[in-house]
Amino acid sequence: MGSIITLSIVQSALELGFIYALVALALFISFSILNIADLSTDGCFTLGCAVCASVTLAGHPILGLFAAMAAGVCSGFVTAFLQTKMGIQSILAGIIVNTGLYTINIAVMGFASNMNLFNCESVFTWAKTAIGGTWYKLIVAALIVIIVGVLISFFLNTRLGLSIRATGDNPDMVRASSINTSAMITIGLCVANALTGLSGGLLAQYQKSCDINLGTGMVTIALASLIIGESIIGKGGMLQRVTGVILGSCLYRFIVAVALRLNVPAECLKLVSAIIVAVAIAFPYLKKQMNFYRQKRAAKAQNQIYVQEIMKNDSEGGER
Amino acid sequence: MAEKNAMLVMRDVSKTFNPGTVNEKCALKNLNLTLKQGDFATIVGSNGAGKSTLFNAITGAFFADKGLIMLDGEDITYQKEHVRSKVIGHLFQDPLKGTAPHMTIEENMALAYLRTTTSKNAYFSRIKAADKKKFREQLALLDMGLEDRMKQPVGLLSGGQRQALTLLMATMVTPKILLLDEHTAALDPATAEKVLNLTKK
Repeated sequence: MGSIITLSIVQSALELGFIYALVALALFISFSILNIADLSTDGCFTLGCAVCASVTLAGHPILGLFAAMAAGVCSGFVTAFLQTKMGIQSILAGIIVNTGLYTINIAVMGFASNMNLFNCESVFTWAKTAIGGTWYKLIVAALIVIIVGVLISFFLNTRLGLSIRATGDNPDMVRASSINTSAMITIGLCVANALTGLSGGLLAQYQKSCDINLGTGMVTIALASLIIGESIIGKGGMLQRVTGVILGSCLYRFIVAVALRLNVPAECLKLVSAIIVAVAIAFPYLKKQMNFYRQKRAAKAQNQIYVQEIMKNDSEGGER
Repeated sequence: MAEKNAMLVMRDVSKTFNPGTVNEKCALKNLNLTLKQGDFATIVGSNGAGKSTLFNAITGAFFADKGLIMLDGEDITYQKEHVRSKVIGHLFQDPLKGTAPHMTIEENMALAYLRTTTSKNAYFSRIKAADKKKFREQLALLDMGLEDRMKQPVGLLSGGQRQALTLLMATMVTPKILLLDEHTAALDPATAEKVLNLTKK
């Protein structure tokens, strides 16, 4: 395995894992907690990327990251508004926003389909001069994600966080407890999309470019990370689950890195991610089914004996 | 007027489901009801008589087609459900409806407790040790051993335990009106008795 996994592969997998972990965390909030499939994630990711790239190009990298988050909040608000005030189903609302965002993203990039940030300052170039070495990118990404992760798990344990979690768990109970479900969905989606936007913004600065198709398939990738994370860590406290999601994202990047290393052509990557998602989601179910079949087979022999006994008793009873 | 100090007043309240279709069902028709503070009223009727509809009209799960509903001198006919539920305690027929299954007992109680506070800052506060102690004491009243399972998700509890917990949560803040919709229908006789005794308390 030494030849397949080298230190530089581990390093870049971790870097990307941490950056994309933010989208996985966003889906953790919208999908796992609020029980809403937010399909605007693809567009929102590109939006964060485009907004951050524009602001960074103007010379404000830190402001760029916050602007990306703010853009994400706006996108999340529109999705939530369509759902809660316009009576549009959640999946449709996401698709509508996602479609609309395509035009907005192009507009943000100055009606071009890509942007370059070479020779331009970013949080990563600052870290390079401040920290140096080869690990500076990982340190920046990890630091941001860890801070966000801690804040999110703290937030989800506040009263507001509890209300958001209950909204996804049992809306009837939440309304009877005088909590406004519409407001909770709106806040939840805003927070989730802020994370998606931040992730896109970080990626723009990381790879020094932005492309209109960057976000395509992001929902699937983030969902894969989320499911992988939840199946390793399982249910537990919020901090534990958030950690699981971040780990899942890193693990997913490892799997992709190994696939690339095994000479899977880059064009096949989307197929590979789709297969990883399907396997990750199906695995717990298949395991349960396997156990059930084993139990069924084990019971078969004994039950056969019972059936014979019952039949025998019946025929004896008939003769009497 | 005697109705001035009434707690709940309903005047000419009607509700028709699926109006204009073959499935049209007039559940409430020009209903009048007046309850004073401290009144204990029992509503009896066969299945489909409209008992739950009456409750849902009061809680705001849907709005009445016509008529007036007043609670403690305030017109709540078209008030949103989450606004009016601040002062209405409601136990559902279905024991699974009153609690959030994937959240712990403690977290569920903290949610119910949220109704007590009105300040906006409370939204960002966490469950304090003092609150936990209070929840524990209240759970001990149920005599079901739940006070030692505070960290467990509510989904692991039985229907009776969940219903008892819901009752506790509904009465955490003394509600202006407590609606019990056949809250022991899905429970075994022994547990039902326990919940009924709690109701009396």
